[in-house]
Amino acid sequence: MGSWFRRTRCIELSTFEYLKRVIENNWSGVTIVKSFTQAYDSAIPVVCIRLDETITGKLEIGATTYNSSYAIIVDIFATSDAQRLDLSDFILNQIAGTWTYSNYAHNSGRTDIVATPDGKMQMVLITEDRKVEIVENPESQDRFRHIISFWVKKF
Amino acid sequence: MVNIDIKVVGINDAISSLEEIVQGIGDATSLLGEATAEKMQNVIMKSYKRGSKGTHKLAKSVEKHEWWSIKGQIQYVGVGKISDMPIYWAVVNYGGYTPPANFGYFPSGGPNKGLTGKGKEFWTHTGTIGGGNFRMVPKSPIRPMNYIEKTLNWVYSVWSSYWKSNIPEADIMGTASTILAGGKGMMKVKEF
Repeated sequence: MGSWFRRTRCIELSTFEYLKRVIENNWSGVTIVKSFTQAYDSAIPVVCIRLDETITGKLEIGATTYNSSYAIIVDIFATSDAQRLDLSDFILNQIAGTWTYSNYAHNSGRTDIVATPDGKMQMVLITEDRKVEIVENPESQDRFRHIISFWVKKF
Repeated sequence: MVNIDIKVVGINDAISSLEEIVQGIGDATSLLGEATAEKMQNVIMKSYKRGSKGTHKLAKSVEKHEWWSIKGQIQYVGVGKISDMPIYWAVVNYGGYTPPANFGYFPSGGPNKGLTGKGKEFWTHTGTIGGGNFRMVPKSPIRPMNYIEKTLNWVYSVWSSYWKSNIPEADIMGTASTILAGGKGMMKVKEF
């Protein structure tokens, strides 16, 4: 096996892979990307799933392990207001339960990424769920946007 | 929006004691509002991609605003009033293309210079054309700074520890239970 990815990257990838799978299984024609600029390289509808930051805290005073939460942001670029609402609703329902956390690593030839399941993840807090209005007359990509941000933890 | 729901059990004392509790919570919420505004300003300042020579209009526009509901039961503490903020507050936070009428200038000159605006140069938005200002048409979207989300993350993470250290739970619940014996009430304090 090649190099293992660190925890933060695995959290992001596990969440990305989970949401990508459930969206693709239930929706057609939705592109799922991991970086914001990629969202503008694809035709809408696009869903961008990325890790914003890590909220790190000690488990207890004197502990040597962290009790971290990870803030995930989902940006939705829809083709209509109705689709924006349906997609955001669908995603919110999907993160209500648990999903698989995997450790990721490059294979020995560094040609592929290998996932090894290692526990579960869960959403612990939704911090934002709202329509995004950037300007009065936005470009087509920005016309029907929505943001969902939430914290996840590994268990 | 962060709601603090405080469950009060028991009623048997004067309502003025309840008002004192509300006042105490109000003072703490107000302080937290100030800290939140400061945090948001810091997040914005740290996220500047084009140096520190800009006008810092966005960071400076983030201030605490405070008001009460008509009956004085709900306290609101907001950070950043949209009417006081530059029009690009949303595109800087959420990312995307700049507003269509994006007039302004780069420090090194006008639109005809091939390299204008590249690298670390900052853009000054004036909203008017002429006098050295020109319309800037971006070739790629602005990446989101997400200063609102980062500040919300901070608020949520400090929220519980702030209450625990500044308003001892025993005091609130102890006083409250002497006020409302035999009944149940819910008091709401709203932040943002």
